[in-house]
Amino acid sequence: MSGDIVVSGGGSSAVATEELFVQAQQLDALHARLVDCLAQLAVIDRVVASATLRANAPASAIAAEEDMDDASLVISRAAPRAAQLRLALEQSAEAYGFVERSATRLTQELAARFGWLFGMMLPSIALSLLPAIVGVAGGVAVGLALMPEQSRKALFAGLPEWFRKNSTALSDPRTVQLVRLLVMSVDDIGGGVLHLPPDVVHALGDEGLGIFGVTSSSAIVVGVGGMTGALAETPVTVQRSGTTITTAPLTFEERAARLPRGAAQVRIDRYQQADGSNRYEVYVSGTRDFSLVPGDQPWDMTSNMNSMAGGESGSYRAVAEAMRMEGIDADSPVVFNGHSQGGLIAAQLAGSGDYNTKGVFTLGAPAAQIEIPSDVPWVAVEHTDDLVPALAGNWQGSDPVLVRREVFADRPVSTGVVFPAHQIGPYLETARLIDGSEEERLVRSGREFAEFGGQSTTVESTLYSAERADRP
Amino acid sequence: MSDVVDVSAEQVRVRAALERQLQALESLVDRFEEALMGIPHAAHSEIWRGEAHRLYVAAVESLGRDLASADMLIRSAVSHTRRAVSVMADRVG
Repeated sequence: MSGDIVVSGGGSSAVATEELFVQAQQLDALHARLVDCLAQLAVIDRVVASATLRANAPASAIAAEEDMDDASLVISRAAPRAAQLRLALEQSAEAYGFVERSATRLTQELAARFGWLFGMMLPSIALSLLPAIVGVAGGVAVGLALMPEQSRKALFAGLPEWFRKNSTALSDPRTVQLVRLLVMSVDDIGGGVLHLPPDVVHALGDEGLGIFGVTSSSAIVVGVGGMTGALAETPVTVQRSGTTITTAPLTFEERAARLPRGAAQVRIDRYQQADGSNRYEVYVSGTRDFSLVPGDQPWDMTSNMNSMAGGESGSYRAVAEAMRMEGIDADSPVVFNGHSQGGLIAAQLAGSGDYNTKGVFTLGAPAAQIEIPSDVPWVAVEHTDDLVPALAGNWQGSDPVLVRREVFADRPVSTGVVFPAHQIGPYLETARLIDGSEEERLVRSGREFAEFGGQSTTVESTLYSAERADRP
Repeated sequence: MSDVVDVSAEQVRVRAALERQLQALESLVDRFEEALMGIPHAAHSEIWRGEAHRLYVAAVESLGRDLASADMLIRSAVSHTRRAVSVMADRVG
């Protein structure tokens, strides 16, 4: 199964490798063809009446009749077996889906209870460890304060290097799953700290009504960060930076390849239709700046955290402004694409209800908490060794066609970059696998997305660059 | 005399029927070949592991063998029908 894509969602409760679904489809088609051949054989068998055959036909005609009878018997026995095998495959996918959902639910429940207990005991733990905490934290703080500014900057600049060196552990699917669970348990830890009854926390949290969860936890982080000047949102300015003539993409790989990677963070393709109307495809890039204090770049951690908190981040407002500048209104048909933070923004824009969304394609986006109407086709791609999508916790609310793949299942984890499974390169590989898949949901989605720009007379592509303004 | 005419007419009808049967069987051969090409390549699949994988592969391969024998029977029916048409052609001209 290494490197295989696993498909789930899209209105189905089955979860399995793309290969399993494809073989189930092949067996289904085989069954239909056998039934058809059987019906044809029955018709052929009646062409020459048996009595006539016995009276007037040569022995070879009778032998042909016997062959047909035997063939009918074999096919009539084989056809149900093809159907049974298909059923077995589908049931195993259903069973796997059920087990996976149950396991997810169970681990989430356990993590929530453990989180509450940990939160409940946290003050005592903190109190007992206070001397050590004060000592260590104080020492670190004093050390940092005494450190020359250049050395301090070098220390923080070394963080990506630390992440890069530890890529193997951070890209372990178990680490990713642990992070997902931790994220889902933050509200429970908070409930424990506040000594709220566990059942109340449970009822209001992710496992219950969902009033408190990843979004509210992120909002608290943004609130606390705001007090220190970190993660504080600012206005943004947007500039159009260039227009070219192109063609509509036909595949998911082409879409992934169109995500902006240069200075511009947004690309909008305008599809002119024969009747004079326009359709639009919006491409949103991923995080560009990982510092907590906002600089010029709106595609930063401030936007990440504010988006996760359900707010309109700088990058969200920048894309909305670029769309307004392009002439996109509430009625314009639009498809959103995005990688990482871009995927989160794409999903938020699609879920806002402000646009006539015709499709969403996200790659490695922490968008599991975003709700998009079920009639909007959404293909979400996640690598199981990519930490970033796990930061949004478990999927809730929406049911996209979810395509998962473990990038480093059969090769060593690359330590050349930070979060190697999150890079656009491996996501391009996965998009290519999706394009080559015969799995029904992926084929249907591919067709729907390809048809969106398929009838365009001209395609005009425009890049937009955004900057933060009025920084604190 | 009339008996001879009747038998001959009947044989012409049988020949025509066998010709229609041959045509239909030849068309069926093509359709069945398409069906055979749709049998999944289970042996190289990575669906399941261990015993479950072995059983699945065995079941698909057994299905393939049965359908291959059905294919041979249909082709044999074609061959026999063709011979019968030829015999009837000799009989009735």
